[in-house]
Amino acid sequence: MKKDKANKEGMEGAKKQPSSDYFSSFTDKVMNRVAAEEASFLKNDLLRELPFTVPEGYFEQFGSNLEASGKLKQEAKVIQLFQQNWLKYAASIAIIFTLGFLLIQSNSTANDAFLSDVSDESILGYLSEEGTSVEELIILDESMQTVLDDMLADVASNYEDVIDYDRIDVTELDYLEY
Amino acid sequence: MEDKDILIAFKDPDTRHIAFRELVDKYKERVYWHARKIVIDHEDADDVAQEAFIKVYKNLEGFREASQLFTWIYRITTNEALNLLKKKQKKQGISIDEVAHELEHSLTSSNLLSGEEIQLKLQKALLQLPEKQRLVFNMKYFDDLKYDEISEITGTSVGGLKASYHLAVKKIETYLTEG
Repeated sequence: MKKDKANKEGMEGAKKQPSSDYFSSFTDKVMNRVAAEEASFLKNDLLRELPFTVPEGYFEQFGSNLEASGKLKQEAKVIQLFQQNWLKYAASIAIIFTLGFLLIQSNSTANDAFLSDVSDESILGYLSEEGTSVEELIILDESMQTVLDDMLADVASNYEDVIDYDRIDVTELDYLEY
Repeated sequence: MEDKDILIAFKDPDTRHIAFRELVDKYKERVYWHARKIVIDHEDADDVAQEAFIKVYKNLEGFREASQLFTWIYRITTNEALNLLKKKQKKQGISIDEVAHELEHSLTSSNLLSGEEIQLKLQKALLQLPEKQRLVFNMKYFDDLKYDEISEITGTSVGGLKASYHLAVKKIETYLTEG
């Protein structure tokens, strides 16, 4: 019985023993740590000072500069602006698309019906009598395109701001979780 | 003013302003120097410090007091500083190594430098380290923080932090003696 017990204990002891890798790397670990503890620069107190300076009066003015920057108030408002802008941009896009759709619809149906019986020559003749050249029409069309492009770019850039702000907010959740 | 008194005063709208001023005055130097060690340049450190305090202001009411106020502020500052470096990296389309190179340039070209050549050399050695090792070394060596505190700030285990610190020390020692 005694022998069995001893064997059992021996087996359990063996189970608890760390792997041989542990012991072979243990010495290295300790030696690394000793080497790090003994690093000569750690004993040089001069090195604990930073080689940086700040402009004169920087810390004295830090608090007032922070308040004067208006960022504390601005930031509080940004949250509301963010929500309002979101609606504003969504509404702008909806309006642009609706107007665009209606214009295309009305132009294509009304003009097509009205002009379908008129020959191209007659239309060009009418335009030249009115003093409108084909080039002018192209320019007019291009400038409309530019205005539309600008509007779209403006809306898109506003979206970028919103996305950026949103991304920053995600990192803030990190602090709140803390 | 004790941290707990600042927190109580901040919750009252009538004393919020005074409380926040107290908090800024109490922590501005620690926040700034922590940021400066990470971003090196003064203007960048100023930006980080200001942004960090704005984040503190916005989130202080929700602060759960489960940890020390200063470790929470350190954590926010660390995030802001690392974000600034990441933004620089993205904006300029450069790698992390190139960011380190740029930081080294700031280190040598700034007119807001003082001290001994060896102190500058230590900063250069730090820029050779991976970001995490540099952070841990800064907080342990310069700020004399405890591993528990650094663990709260970085969200890394104490064991991992010790390993990072010792690795950093070894690399720095090699750089200073050979470099």
